[in-house]
Amino acid sequence: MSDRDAPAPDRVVETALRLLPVPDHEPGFWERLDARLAAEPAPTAAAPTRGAAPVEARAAGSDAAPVPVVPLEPADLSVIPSAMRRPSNVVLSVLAVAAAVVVVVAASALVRSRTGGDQPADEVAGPAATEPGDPEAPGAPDEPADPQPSAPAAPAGSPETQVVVDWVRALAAGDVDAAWALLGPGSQAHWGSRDAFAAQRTDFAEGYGAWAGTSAEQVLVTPLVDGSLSVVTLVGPVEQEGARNVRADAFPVRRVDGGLRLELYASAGPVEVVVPGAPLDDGTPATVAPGEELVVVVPEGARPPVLRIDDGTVVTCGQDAGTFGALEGSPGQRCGYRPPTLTAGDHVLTVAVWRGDGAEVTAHSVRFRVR
Amino acid sequence: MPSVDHLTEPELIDRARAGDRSAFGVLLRRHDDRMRGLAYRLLADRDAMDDALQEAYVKAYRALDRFRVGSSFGTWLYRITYNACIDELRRRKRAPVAAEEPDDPVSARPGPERVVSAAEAVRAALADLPESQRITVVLVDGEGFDHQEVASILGVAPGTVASRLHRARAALRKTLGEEVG
Repeated sequence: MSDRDAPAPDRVVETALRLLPVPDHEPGFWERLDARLAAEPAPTAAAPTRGAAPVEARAAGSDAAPVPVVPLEPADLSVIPSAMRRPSNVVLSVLAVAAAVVVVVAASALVRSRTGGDQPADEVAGPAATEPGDPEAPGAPDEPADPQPSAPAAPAGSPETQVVVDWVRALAAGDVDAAWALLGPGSQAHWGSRDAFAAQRTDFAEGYGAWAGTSAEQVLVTPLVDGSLSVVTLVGPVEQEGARNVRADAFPVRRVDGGLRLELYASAGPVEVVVPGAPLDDGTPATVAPGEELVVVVPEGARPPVLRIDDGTVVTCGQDAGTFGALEGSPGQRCGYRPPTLTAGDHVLTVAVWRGDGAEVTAHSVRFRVR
Repeated sequence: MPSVDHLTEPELIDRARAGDRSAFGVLLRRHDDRMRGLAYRLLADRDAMDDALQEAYVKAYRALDRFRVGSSFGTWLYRITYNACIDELRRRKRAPVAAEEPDDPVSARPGPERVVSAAEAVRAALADLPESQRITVVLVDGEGFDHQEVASILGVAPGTVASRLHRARAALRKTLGEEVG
């Protein structure tokens, strides 16, 4: 025993547990498993390649592989002011500008040249379907995707929000240079070159760029590292391909050389949201019971995840009340959080993990419904 | 196709990584007893056990390229299985877990004219525990983890492990004493 204060094993209970006969599998278990494995790529072939999956956040039930093994590192408490991690402090941690931030670009900017499938609600939109430089990628580099927007309205909100607004505006306008310049060094390194990034610009316009021309119902700013790293979450209805979906997209914003840049592709690894889980096919958010634990799994070596609810609650896993974390040796770091008070209705959960000073960061937002 | 049954674990892992499902199957079957033991004690239900293990084994296959050579495959698989069981518990949202009807009518639920087996009593007693207590007692008394390890796994203080364990053991002893004694 490593815990010298631990009581001795209970031999009666221990024996009783060993008495419990463990049933064999139901008939057909191995056949079903083999059929499922047959549908999987070989593990080595499934290893992620650069640019193959820029959107790494995933929800429960997705096909992504579990993340590798490690314990939660003790967090550097200095990176997030304690007050900002407390549920009671709404003002410092939240910038909920309901319907105030108008990310307006001419609606016509979204109408033309749309290709590809629907963007599911609650997924981070992005160019996951094509490789950088993929000759099949729609559109050619430098070709304007859409008409130039007419007189974009100046958005309200924080500087971090402004960067996000500028970026989606640039995407919708097909302004590759502006969009490229707003990416941080990690994200630029991910793409390798401006041209590789530009090759995806039609997908971008359909994904993140779809925020242009709409009004975000909520803009949530979650500070992570003392003014140098935050996550901006846009929540609201987005028109795509004639369909209107309510989305919640997370945008990591990092201060680089005195300016703010988006680090959407400087991934710290995949994040799995086990509870509340994925939305239904029709976009309806997953439902959780009042008091139910929210569960996320975050990658190896990352700092303990920060979870934030749209009501202003911001907690660091394993440090703040109501959280539990750390599964040493597990395929990923598991974090649970039981929000003390969560009203019935729709909410947004944002999960963020990062490494070091934030040069690698993954953020994911998902809508969910409390019964 | 030649049998892969005789291959060593590292050899099986290499083959499985390259997509050899029969090699992966052999690997799984070598560890399946222990995985079923964990899953059944945690979930107390055969269907749930199978569902959790299906998920665990598929996830293990997907993650096989990230398995660290030189470390224990069994321990690695055990952790994945544990996670899958916790997810299965949450999905089923059952606390306490509903008792499963045993296949053997002789060892069915205890009744005045029926002698319940000790094993059935243990299973029912486990199922009646709150999830947090059940997990704790299974990990400590069933799987042999020490308190510090369980505290780390569950993300709670060792003192919490001790108190949950105390309550779980007391409840099990009481239930088993009533039903079997």
